[in-house]
Amino acid sequence: MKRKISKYTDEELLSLLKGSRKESEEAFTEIYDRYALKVNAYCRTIIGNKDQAEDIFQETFIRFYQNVRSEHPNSTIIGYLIKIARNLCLNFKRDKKQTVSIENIDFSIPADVSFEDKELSDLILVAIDLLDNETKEVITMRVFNDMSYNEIADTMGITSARARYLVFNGKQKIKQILDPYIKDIYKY
Amino acid sequence: MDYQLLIHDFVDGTLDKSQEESLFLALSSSEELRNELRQSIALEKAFSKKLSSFTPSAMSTVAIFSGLSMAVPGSASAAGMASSSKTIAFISKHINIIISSLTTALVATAVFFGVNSIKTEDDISLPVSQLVNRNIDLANNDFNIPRIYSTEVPETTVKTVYSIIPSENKNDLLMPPDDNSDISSLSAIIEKPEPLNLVDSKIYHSTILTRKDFNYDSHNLTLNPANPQMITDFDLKGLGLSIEIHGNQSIFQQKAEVPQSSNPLFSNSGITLLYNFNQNLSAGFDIRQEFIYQRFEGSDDEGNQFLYKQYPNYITLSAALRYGFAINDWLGFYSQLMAGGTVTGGVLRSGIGLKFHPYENYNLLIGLDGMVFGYKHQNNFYTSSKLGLNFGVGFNF
Repeated sequence: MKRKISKYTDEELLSLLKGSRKESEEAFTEIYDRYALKVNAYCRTIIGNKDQAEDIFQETFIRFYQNVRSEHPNSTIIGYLIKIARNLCLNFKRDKKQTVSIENIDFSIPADVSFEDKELSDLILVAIDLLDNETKEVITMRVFNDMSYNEIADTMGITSARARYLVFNGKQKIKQILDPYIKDIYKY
Repeated sequence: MDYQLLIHDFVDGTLDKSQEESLFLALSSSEELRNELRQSIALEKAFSKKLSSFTPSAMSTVAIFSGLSMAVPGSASAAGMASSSKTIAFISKHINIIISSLTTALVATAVFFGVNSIKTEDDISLPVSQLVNRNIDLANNDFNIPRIYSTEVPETTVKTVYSIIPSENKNDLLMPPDDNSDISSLSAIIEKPEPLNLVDSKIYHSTILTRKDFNYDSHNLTLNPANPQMITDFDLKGLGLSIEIHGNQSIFQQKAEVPQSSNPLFSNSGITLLYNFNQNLSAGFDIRQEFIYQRFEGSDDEGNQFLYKQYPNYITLSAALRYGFAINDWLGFYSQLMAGGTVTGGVLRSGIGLKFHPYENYNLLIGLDGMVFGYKHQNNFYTSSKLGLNFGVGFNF
């Protein structure tokens, strides 16, 4: 009996992607099922705007398929996908010529955000959005993309120790931002 | 020691065993650290919960797969509807099955009941029960109608008709059709065919029912399906081609009143060659040899009207379009439409079925296959239809 494609390893899927049209289509569909959620989480967190994030998300998978048919990625599939998504996000931000300085960011939750009936998970993105770009990226890769510190370091071009520090530091900041709400929600 | 870092690493899953012990010791004596741990756990839970809200929209999924000329996965489109009600999600998840089933049912219904209900002037497709009643009326009216019994001659491909016409009636013209008489007279013949008596009757080799009169080249009948073994010997891997060798067993059709011709090399079998555009859509052609029962009317130069019944074996060549999808890793559903013809008329065929594929390049098929065969004779249009079981084996390259 044919082995289920959902049992294939990432490496096997990458090999299958270079096979016949049918094989590559099956492999791509499986990769999409596995990683679409994570890639979308990255795009949404980094870009913020849902529509623009969706455009980048779509472009990421299309480029992934086109690239991976001709070259073998040096990282894991999620690492490779996030690298593509990251480049697209950086290009997008550069094109937008964002001029807001990180020093000018107010590390407090905006007043227009209503917390009534909101769960902690709903506030997470608000808190992450208040972090600096590097920390935001590292946190996203770690908590949403399940990437190891080595993968994060490879993707970001930093050391593994710095990636770990940024994750720790970022989570501490998020806890500080959300502390009143965490206490209120969990009643301790 | 930075216990905040230890708590972070513990929740992060990167704390080693030795540090774990010191952390637990510190936690046992510090309410502040326990709160810190609670906060960290609550945060991790919130991250996990938030991740599930990042399901890509169905539109994004469609855009990606369409952009790459791939079939949109059903589960992905269902995922895009996750926020909708369960009913909508269910419909979305099974939209392929629903659309395919409805389309096929619609086409099959049209083929079997719509097209087949086209009535010719003489309406020879009346149910047998009505024919029996009219037969009685006819007998009372004492019509003299040429009596015909037609069939194919075994072992040849040339159709021959024996026309048994009592000499006293030969030059009689058929009465013009009125409300009841015409078809009734013909039905009388159907119900009570005269025994073939070559001594008392004249034998006509009818020019009406020969292959020639149907613009049929009898030599073509000898066209046989290609040897499947030879086909599978080719190394066609990766071409996206499928070859299926299949058989058909008729389970519903007009009641045949004459025997089948007995000379075909292949009976109710054929080969389908498909090119798979993607996982769902395929197109190609189908060639099959099959029996199709025909019943129609005609008249000769002298105005004698005949009812013809024949059960020949035709070679049908059709263009095929198939839509299918995987139900799971080893079972798939397909629906297909075929349009083509024999040398005497057009064939429209539709079918649904299941594909069992225990191995990647090999599958077994079983399904329902319905067809309608339309043909003209002497400016009248007739149809024959049948529904059958389709089964076969397929090879993918």
